[in-house]
Amino acid sequence: AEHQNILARKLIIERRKEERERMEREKLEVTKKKEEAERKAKEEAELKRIKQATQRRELEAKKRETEETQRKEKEVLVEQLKQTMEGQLSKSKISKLEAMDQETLKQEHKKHKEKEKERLEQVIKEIERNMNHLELAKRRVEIPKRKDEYVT
Amino acid sequence: MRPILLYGHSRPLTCVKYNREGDLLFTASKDHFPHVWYADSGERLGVYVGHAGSVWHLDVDFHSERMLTGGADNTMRLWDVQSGRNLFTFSHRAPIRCVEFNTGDSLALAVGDNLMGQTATVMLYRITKNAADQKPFEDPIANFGAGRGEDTMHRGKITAAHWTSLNKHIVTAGDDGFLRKWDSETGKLVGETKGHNSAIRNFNFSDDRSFIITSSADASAKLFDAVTLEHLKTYKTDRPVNSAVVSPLRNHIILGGGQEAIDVTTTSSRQGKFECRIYDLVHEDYIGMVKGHFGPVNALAFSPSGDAFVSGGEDGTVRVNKFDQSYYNLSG
Amino acid sequence: ISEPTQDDFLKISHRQKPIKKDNFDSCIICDGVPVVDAEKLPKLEKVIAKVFAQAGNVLRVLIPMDDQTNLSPGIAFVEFETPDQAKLAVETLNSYKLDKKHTLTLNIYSDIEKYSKIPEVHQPPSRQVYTEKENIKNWLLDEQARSQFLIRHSDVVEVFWNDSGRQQPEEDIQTNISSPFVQWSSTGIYLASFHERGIRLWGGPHWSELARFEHIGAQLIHFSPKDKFLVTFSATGTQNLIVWDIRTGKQMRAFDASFDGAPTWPLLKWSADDRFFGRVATDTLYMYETETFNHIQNKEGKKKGIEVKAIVTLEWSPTENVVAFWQPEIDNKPACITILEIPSLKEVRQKNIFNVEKCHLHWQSEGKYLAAKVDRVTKAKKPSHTDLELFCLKFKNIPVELCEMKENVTAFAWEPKGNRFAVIHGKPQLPQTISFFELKFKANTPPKPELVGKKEKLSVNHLFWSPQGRLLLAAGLNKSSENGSLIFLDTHKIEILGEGEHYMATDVAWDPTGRFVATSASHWAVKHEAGYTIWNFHGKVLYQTLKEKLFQLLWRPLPPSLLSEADLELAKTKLQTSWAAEFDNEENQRRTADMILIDKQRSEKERQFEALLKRRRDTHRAEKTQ
Repeated sequence: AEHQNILARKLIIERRKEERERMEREKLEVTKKKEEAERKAKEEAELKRIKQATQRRELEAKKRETEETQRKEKEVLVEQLKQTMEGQLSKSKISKLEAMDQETLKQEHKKHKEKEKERLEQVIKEIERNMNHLELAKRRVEIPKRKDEYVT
Repeated sequence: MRPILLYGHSRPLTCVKYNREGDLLFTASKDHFPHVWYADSGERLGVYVGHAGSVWHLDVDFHSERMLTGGADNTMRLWDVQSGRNLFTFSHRAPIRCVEFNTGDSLALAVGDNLMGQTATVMLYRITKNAADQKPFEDPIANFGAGRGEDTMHRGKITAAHWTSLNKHIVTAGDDGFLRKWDSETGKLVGETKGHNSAIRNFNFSDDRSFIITSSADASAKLFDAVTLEHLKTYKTDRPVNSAVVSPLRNHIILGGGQEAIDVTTTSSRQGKFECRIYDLVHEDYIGMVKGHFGPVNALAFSPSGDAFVSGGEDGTVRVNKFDQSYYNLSG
Repeated sequence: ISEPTQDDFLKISHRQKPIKKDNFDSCIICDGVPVVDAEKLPKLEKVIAKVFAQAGNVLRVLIPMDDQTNLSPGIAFVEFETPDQAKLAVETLNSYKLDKKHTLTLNIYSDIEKYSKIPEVHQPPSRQVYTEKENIKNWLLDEQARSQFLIRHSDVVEVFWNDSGRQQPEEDIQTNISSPFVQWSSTGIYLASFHERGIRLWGGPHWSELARFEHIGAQLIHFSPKDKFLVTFSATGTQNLIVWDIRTGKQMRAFDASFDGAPTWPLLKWSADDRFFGRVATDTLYMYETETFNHIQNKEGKKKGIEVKAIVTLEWSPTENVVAFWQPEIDNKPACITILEIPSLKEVRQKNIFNVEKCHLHWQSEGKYLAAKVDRVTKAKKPSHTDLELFCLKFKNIPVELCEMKENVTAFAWEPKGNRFAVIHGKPQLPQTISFFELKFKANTPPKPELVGKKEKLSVNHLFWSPQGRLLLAAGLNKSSENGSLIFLDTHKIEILGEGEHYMATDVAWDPTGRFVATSASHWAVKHEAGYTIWNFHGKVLYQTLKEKLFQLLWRPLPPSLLSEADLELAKTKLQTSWAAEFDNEENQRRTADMILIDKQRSEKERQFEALLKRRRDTHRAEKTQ
């Protein structure tokens, strides 16, 4: 009977042992899983961060680029304006021009182009009138001479 | 003005026509299938299947019930407009160049080409209510030109033929540059005039049929009195004119044409000049142009109300041009 | 003794039969020989033989005697060894002065025969003396100072007034001239038409025939600058280049000319005052004066050609009696440009140039400068680039300035009445640059060419200055890549005034007052697009039309102005004080009158049409109710 008791206890001990082992295994698995999940989450977060960073950098680059082109455009516009406004240019005007933003500059530019066109038209009109008049005046003086030439 | 483009034909247009109300637009082309469209939206309503060759001309009756077509397959066909059914086929021995209902839709005229050993003739048929009673093509009620002396009929092709108002006469135009007028009952020649030095390619009546407008290979269109055939006006351009129409609304006419590809010496696009040109009817002045086609303009039609015109091109497209306010603001 | 007729020549030639038929080409008939008796005959024959020995080997001299008078008939036959020698003799010794009284007139025997064989249809040259006292310069009396131009389509000639304000040309009276080609004279007084039998000149207010010149097959003509003389050329026959006095209708001199060596028309080059004309032949410069139509004296005092090795072109100064020509490199001697004073033949300047392939000479309109456009070659004789050598005629010793372009030059042109010139240069097949240079003066030093401005990236290859200067039209012609692009420039401000395009244009010309430009596309080049456009000086289209079979559009040239400097000043002051307003006023009145007239015509037309419409409707209604 004692032997049987011992056997029984042994069995119980075995069972407990097994039970503990199983529990330990389970515990290990859970922690493992947890660790795995944590690692994964970390990785994902990292990736996300990197992605966001590149995006931000790209955006920044783009912004810088557009700013650059705008600045250049502005410079060109200002330069052209300076040229067309030749002769009527003052320091204050230049600084005023440089202070303007893109849109107003463009407007200004358009205005100047039109002005320039108008000026050219005016010049042409003047040349045309003068040329015609000179031709008419010359003819008026010449006609009596031509008539004399014919008579003689 | 933004045109409505009608894509459907695969080959050059030959004829464009509004029905009387102006809600439907009928088109014929060198592909074998006449089309019908909603004039306002440009939506295609239907296709008429039957011809086995280019369709040269078409006409629609007063109530938009029946349509006549004539083509290179030597047939004139009568169609039910709504169902698209081919009601009757008249078989000839040469291509049919023109077809037209008379006023009242009781008679039809058909022009046969001078091909396949035939002389160019104008034939008249009675159109019966019931297609079963229809007499065949061999049996016209009148036949002008066949067997007649060369001196009265056109030399070469008859390019266009139309009934005058009240059905009393038929006017024909030909490759020989002549306009001729025939008594529709006796078939006798009652008047003629040499309208152009080159071929007359087409002619149209003004909406009340009091004027004839011709279009010619000599790069001009001319206006004639429809009764006396007296020459009234000349509209000069720099390209052969394929079609010309008189506005029912204003004193305007529109010409369309262009150099045929075969005659164009260089490949430059500007050589073509495929615009429709608007002229003042009375003063013969050039008013403006509507561009768009990539080939010569073959056919023109004014909408019955005069608020739009349609052009059919060698490029296979049909363009419906609705006039915008700037057109109505034009002086004259 | 009277002048022998052509029949006499025939009689004589039949009686004498010394000349074989096949030798007729080497035999010449010499007119204007002194009349002598039998005694003096041998001596005369010797003299004649000696004269003609200059031209070649004389086989024999024959002077027939008139049986009845026993005198020589004033003619002589000279037979040479070869036809070429005979030809040379006619060319060089025609109008030879034997002595004070006798000048020899020479013709090839076979020519005389040929002409005498032309049957009755050949009418003797009829000189049309125009009796009607029309003012042949009446077009210069137009108060609006409009220019005229002609167009020829098929063989129809129409003359138009260019009416800028109306924006369409107004037709002058019908000319009735029908000709396959027409040409204005230098001063615009005559209009020449071409016919089978010769040339006719037209003019005056009714375009009547003013003169005609019988020259069978004449196909090229050329007027002297003052319109005193007309030069005609026919491809057939010998003596085929003829100089005529326009007023008398007389033939002044004839030459044998051929286009074998491909010299360019005109073959004769005239001095600005019509006193001299020159002709370039192989290694020889022939220079004639128009008083006697003989050679000018050469340096040895002889009246004959001047030896100039390999002479290529001859260009007269537009104002002075000075010519320029150039000789290419030959026998290790460098190429050379020479400026010669006429008739003294004094060399006023000579300049050697090196590594030259071709050289073009351009005079400035007042003769102030001469530019030589020199196309250079490399040592290996490959074409390299173009330079400009500029001769300043108004300075002591005529300094020459080099203007290096270092690039291919497609066009060069002086500004008329100015100190500027324009050059189109650039790499082939690429857009070109127009550069403007000015010869700038500094106290007592020769003027230096300075770049005063340029316009880049233009598709142009031709330069057309307004005859008044300042305005310049640059055009791209005859090339598919730059087909008909037109750039209108103000060269004083170096500013583009306007741009235009005349697709497929073949010709561009300023009107003689320098206010308008005509561009035309000739039927020669285009079939369907033949037509013309009139532009004003800044590229605005005034009038545009297509004209079937349009071949020529030519502005009528203006004769030299009659205004002195003082007159010009007067015109300018008057303009400032009162005329300007007057002119504006007149212009306005004309335009208003035009508008009223057009309006009236239009409403009349409308009224007529309405009436017609009504009649038509009435008959129509009547028919309907029947």
